[in-house]
Amino acid sequence: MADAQNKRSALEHEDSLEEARRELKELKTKVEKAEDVKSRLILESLEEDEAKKEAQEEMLACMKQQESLKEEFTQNMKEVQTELQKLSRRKQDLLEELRRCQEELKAKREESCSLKETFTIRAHIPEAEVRFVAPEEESSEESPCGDQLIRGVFTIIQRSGFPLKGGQALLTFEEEKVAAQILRIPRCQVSCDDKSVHVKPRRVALDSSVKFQVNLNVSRTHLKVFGVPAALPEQRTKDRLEVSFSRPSRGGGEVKSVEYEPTTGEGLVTFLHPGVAERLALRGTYDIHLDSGVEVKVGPSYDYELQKFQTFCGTTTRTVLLDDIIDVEDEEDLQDHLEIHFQKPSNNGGEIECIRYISKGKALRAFFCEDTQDV
Amino acid sequence: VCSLQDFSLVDSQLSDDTLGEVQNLISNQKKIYDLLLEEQKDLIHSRDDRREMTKQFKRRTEKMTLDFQKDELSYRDQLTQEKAKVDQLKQEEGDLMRQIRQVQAAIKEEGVQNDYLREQADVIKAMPDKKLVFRGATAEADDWEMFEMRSEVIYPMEGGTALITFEEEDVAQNILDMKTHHVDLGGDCRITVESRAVELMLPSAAEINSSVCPNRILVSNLPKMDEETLKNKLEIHFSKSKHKGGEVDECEYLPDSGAVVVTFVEDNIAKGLTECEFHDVRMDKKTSHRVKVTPFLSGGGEGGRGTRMTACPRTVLLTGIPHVMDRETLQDLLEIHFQKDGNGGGEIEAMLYNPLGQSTSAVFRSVSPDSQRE
Repeated sequence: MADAQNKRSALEHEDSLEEARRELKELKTKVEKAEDVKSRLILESLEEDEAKKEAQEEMLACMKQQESLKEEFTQNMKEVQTELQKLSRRKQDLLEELRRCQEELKAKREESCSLKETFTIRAHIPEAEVRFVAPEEESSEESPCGDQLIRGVFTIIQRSGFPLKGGQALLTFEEEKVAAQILRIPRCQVSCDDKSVHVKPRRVALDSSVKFQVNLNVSRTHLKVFGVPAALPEQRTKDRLEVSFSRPSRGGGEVKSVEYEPTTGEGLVTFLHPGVAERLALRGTYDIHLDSGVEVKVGPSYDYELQKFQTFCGTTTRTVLLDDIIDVEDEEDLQDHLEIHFQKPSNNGGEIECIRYISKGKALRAFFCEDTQDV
Repeated sequence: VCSLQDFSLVDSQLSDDTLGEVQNLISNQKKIYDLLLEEQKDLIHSRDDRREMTKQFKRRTEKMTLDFQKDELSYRDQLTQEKAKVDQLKQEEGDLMRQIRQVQAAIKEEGVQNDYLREQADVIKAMPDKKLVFRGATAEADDWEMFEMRSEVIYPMEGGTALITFEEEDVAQNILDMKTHHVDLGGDCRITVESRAVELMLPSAAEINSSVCPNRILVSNLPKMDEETLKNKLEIHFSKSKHKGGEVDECEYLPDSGAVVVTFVEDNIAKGLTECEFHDVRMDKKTSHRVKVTPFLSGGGEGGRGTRMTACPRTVLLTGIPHVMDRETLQDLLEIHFQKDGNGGGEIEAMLYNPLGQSTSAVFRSVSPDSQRE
C-alpha cells in the first residue's frame, strides 16, 4: 500500500512538477518579455533623456542668446546715449557761441551806423523870407530853357556857433595883432568905477562846419500828377488826361504831351505854355474825368541837386573870449567898462569892432561869420 | 536588497529536480517579474517625466524665440531712433557751425569796414581853415537854428505881369486881399489888374553822405596871386614823385572858399599827401609858400531831400496888365499907383514890369541878417 500511495504521489508529484515546470517556463517567458519591455523602456528613457538634454541646451542657448542680445543692445544704447549727451552739450555750447557772435555782430553794426553818422550831415533848413529884388542882369550866355525853369540856387551854411555862458564876454578887435597881444596876457584888471574885475583872455575854439549848395530847378511847363486810378487801359487814360488838363475852364491849358505809369498811378503833363503848370501846382488838386470824375493830386516837377559840398574849420584871429568875469555891477555897465578898458592902447588894447557880455545865470549861443576883412 | 542579477544567479544555481526546487524557482521568477514590473513603472515614469520636461523646454524655447524676435525688432527700433537723434544733432551741429562761420565772416567784414570808417573819420578831421569873426549875432542857448540859407531864385515872368516888393508886410497883404485893382493911367485910360501871391520852392531839408575822395586833395592857405599861375605852380609841385605826388588830371579853383581842388589820375596819391598837413610849394625862383593839404570830401545827397513852397510875404504879382503904352511909362505909373495909401499901397522897395510878348527874368533873394547891403 505504501507503494501505491507512493507511486500515486510520485505521479502526482511528477504531474505537479511538470505543471510547475510549465509554469516556470511561462513565467520565464513572461520575465523575458518584461525584461524586453524594460530594455525598451530604458532605451526610451535614455532617448528622452537625450531629447530633454538637447531641449534644455537649446533653451539655455536661447536664453544666452537673448541675454547677449540684451547686453549688446544695452551697450550700444549706452554708447549712443553718451554720444547724444556729448552732442547735446556741444549744441548748447554752439548755441551760446552763436548768440555771442550775433551780439558781437549787432554791436559792430551799431558801431558802423554811428561811424557812418559822422559822415552824414542832416540839415534842417529854417524858413526864410525871399523877396523880389531886381531884374536879372542880361548875361552873354542865353540859357536854353530860360523861361521854362525857375532856377533856384541855395547856399546852405552850418553856422559856426559858440556857447557863451554867463560871466563871459566875446570881444572882436579890428586888428589881429591886438587880439594876439591880449591873448598873451593871462589876467587883465578892468576898473569899473570904484570896483575892479579880473578877466581872463582865452582863445576861442570853434567846431568844424559844412557848406553846400542846393540847386532846385522847378519846371514851369511840367506838372506831376498823383493817384490816377487804373480804371481804363493805359492809352485811354493818357488820352483822357490830355483832355482833362486842356480845359481852360478848370484852369488847364494846351497840352503838349502826357506821360503815365499805370503801376504807380503817377503821370507827367507837359503844357505848351509856361505858367499853367505853376498855377495848378500851387492849387494842389485837379478834377479829371476818366470813366467817372475823380480828383487827383498835382504838384510841381523839379530837379534837386547837391553841389559844392565843403567842410572847414573855423579859426578866429580877431575875436577873443574873456572868461571868469564876476558881475560886480549890471550887465550893460560892465560891458561898457570892458569896452573902455580894451580900447586903450595903454592896456594893450585897440579899436573894438564888437563886444558882448552876459552876466551869470544867462546863456547864449554866439554865431561867427566869415571874416571878409583883408588883413 | 536583492537585485535582479542576484535572482538569476540563484536561479541557475538552483536545480529544478524537485517540486520544491521548482516552486522556489517559480517564486523567484515571480519576484523577478514583479520587480521588473516595478522597474517598468519607474522607467515609464521617468521616461514620461523627461518627455514632459522636454516639452516644457521646447515651449520655453519657442516663447523665448518669439520674445527674442520681438526684442530684436524693438532694440533695432530704439537704436534707430536714438541714432536718428544723433544724426539730427550732428546735422544741427553742422548748421550751427555754418551759421557761426557766417556770422564771424560778417563780423570780420563789418570790422574791416569799421576800421576803414574810423580811419576815414580821422582823416576828415583835417580840413581847410576859414577865418571867422564875431559880429554880435546871438540866439537863445537852447533854441537856435544850426543851418542858415542864402537864396537866389531866377524867376521868368509871364507877359503882362509885374512884381512889386513892398517895404511893409501889411501893405503887401492888403494889396493881396484886395485882389482887383483899378489903375488910373491918366487921360481916360484905366486898366484893371489882379494881385496874386508869389510862392517859390525852397529846400527844407538836406541829407548829405560825405565820403573821402580817393583821388583828390584840397589845397588851402593859398597866397594871393593870379589864378592860372597858382594852379600851374600847384600842378607842377604835386605831379612830382619826390613830393609824394603823381600825375595831375586837373586843378580847380573854388572861389567861395579860396581853395584849389587837385584831381589825380591814380587813386593812391591823395592819401599819402594828406598824411602831411603842410606842404611847401615853390611859387617862384626865390620863394616857397606853405599850403595846407587836406582830404577832399565829396558830398552825395541821396536821401532826405525836403522842399517846401514858401510864400513871399512882401512881394506881390500883378497880372493881366495890357500893353497900352511903352514899358517905362507904364511901370512908373503902376509904381505911383501902388505907392499911395489911398490905393491900399505903401512904400515900394523894388518893382519890375514885363510887358506882353517880352520875356524878363526876376531875381529873388533872401533877406540876410548878417550883411548890411545887398
